Amino acid sequence: MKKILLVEDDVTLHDLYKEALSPHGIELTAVTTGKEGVSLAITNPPDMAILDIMLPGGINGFDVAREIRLHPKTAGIPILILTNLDSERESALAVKAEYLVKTNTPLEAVVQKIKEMLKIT
Amino acid sequence: MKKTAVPNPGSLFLLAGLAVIYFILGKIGLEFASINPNVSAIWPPTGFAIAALLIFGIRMWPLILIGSFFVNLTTSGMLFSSLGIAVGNSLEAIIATWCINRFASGTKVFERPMDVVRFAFVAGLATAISAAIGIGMLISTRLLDPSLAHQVWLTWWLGDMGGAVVFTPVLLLWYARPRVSIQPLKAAEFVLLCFALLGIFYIIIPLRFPHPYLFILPLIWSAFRFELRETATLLTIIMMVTTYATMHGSGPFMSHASTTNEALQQLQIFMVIIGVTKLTVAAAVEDRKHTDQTLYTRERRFQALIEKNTDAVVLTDPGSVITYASPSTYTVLGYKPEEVLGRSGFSFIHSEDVEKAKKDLSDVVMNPKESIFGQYRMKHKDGRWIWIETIGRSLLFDPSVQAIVINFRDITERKELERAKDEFLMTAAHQLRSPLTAIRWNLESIIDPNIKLPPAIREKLMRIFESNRLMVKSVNELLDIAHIIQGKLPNYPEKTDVVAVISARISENADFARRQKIQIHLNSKLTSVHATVDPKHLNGAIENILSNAVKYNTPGGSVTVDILRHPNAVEIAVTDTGIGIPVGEQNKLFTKFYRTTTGRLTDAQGAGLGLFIVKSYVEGWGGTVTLKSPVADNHGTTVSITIPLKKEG
Repeated sequence: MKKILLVEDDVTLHDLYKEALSPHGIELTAVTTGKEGVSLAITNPPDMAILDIMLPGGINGFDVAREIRLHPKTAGIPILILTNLDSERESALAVKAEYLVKTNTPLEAVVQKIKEMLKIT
Repeated sequence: MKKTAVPNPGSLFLLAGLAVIYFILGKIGLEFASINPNVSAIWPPTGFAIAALLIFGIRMWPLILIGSFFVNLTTSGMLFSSLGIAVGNSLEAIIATWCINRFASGTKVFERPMDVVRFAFVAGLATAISAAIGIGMLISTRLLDPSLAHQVWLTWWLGDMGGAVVFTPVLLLWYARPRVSIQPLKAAEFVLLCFALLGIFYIIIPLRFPHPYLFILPLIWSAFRFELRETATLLTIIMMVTTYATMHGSGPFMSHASTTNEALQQLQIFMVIIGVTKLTVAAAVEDRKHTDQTLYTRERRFQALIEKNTDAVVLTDPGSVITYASPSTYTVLGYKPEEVLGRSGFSFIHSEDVEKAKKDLSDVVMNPKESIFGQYRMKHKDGRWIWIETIGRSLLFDPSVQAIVINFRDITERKELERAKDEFLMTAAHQLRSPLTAIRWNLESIIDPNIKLPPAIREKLMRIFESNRLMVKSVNELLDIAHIIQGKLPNYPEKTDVVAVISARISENADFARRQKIQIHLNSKLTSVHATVDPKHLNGAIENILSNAVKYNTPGGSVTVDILRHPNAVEIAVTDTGIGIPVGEQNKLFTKFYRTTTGRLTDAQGAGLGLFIVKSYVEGWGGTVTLKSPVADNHGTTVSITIPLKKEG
């Protein structure tokens, strides 16, 4: 069982991710703010993080990614930036994260990408 | 519309009044008769008649007929000759007035020197005719000895002409400007002038100083220092006084002449000549004053336009060195004009914008007939960077300027608004994307072929999915536009298989095409060809062209995609069998938000952003987009993209 931390303020997507990922043996914990994301990543280190960029509360997805990279237990985990901004690809590279634009990607391709990053066949 | 044939009581009253004045003036005039009781050396009624007809219209001519008839009747008692002379006098005024109205600006005859000359000519001609008619009448009624005809005609003619030249201006000018404005200094000067005139009268008349041209001095004084009206008045006074003096045996010409009549004739000639000369000079002075005033006002206005304008103006040489800066340079840049003189205009421009500014300036120099627009960041004296818009134009070959004229203004605020607008556009598009993602992914999870659905419901869900896809595309286009405008279109080139992208786009559009009853054919001998482009852009460009080819097609038509390998490039040509694009609109297709007239008629959806974006993408790769329409029989359009290929290795 792999654990994924999802930081996404659009709660309508939370269940969708869960439904799409559970058949592949992936357990998803979803939070809506960067602050919750950072504390959860530290107290309960996941195998992977999926981050939106624009988040409420002043801490954005990249801030969360940087915290994850700084913390010894999570420094090496794969991060997927899943956003609707298409101008931030370079910032994603800087935190060694993969990058997908939500609206332009079918759900199946997102699932495929996550499986690749978790090395699930 | 209807014009009454009967003169109204008002104008009858006016006519009668004018006739009475004419009669009185005539009686005064005949006081100056010497050679014949009916022939006067000075005939003010002529001047009065012309002035009256100019002011009140030629239709008032009966005043002369009545006035003149009674003047002569009461003088000679002869009915027939009085009527004849009256006709002559009337004719004279009518001819003169008509000519002045026609050729010499009517009541404004004394405003321009050329009109004054024309007036003198007309007055001379008309009075000669009148004098001839009058003499004829006097001879035929035996009031005049034919042997004296020549002498009498000359007196008559000169008397009438003197009347016209002296009295018409004074009456007309006082009628036009009856008010006298008294400025103490001017009034004192005028009093002085009057004393000078009195002095000259004294020297010439009682002291018999034989130089009448002394009168020219006060007249010149008046012409240069006072208005035309005052000059004309002085002229009248001089005429009246000298004529009266001459009649009574003294005056300037008595010493030159053997008889009073001869002296009067000499006086008349003298008065007519100095009258015309002085009036011409005065009109010229007036005209000049007026022109000066106009030029001064105009100069002030242009100066104000340049100096008070919020736009600033600088003149530079072809090397950008500033030779003039308008005062508003201070409002725009914070520098006083003298602080920028001799400096290069480029020294104020942001280093990143200098290259562009140099290119724009050389464009200005090379294209003297064009205004070249530019936008640069410039450093305000207080250290801020501000956005400046410039309009440059070369007047190097204009002899009065010989410089490059650059208008410039602060557009920082406008730039800020544009940025805010683009930012809003981007934020709005992002906000739209979130619900679109939710719709897309939820639909995708239902229309999974593994899930059993009633066919009718699946069909409807497919339609929703298709609409969602189009919506995503539109939002993406909006975002791209915002990025292109800002010059920040994200570009991540990587090795991309062009054939694979095209195949994928064709299959994605297959459903949409099927619904539109369009067949899509792929025509390619290649199985793969790799180009270094941003796959997202390539997908976007192909999607755009392909969906247009389907959208603007006719049902039952087809779309053919040809992929051609050239030595250093790959060409993708998409040909439809649609309505075609009018030749005149083909270039505009590559501009923002443009849709063809034919495209609008078919009522297909689309924001008209398509080819503008495609062009931006393709040019980003160093490629080209071309459009050909019609392809055959007034139908079809081919859009071709050429992508350069890097040499392997």
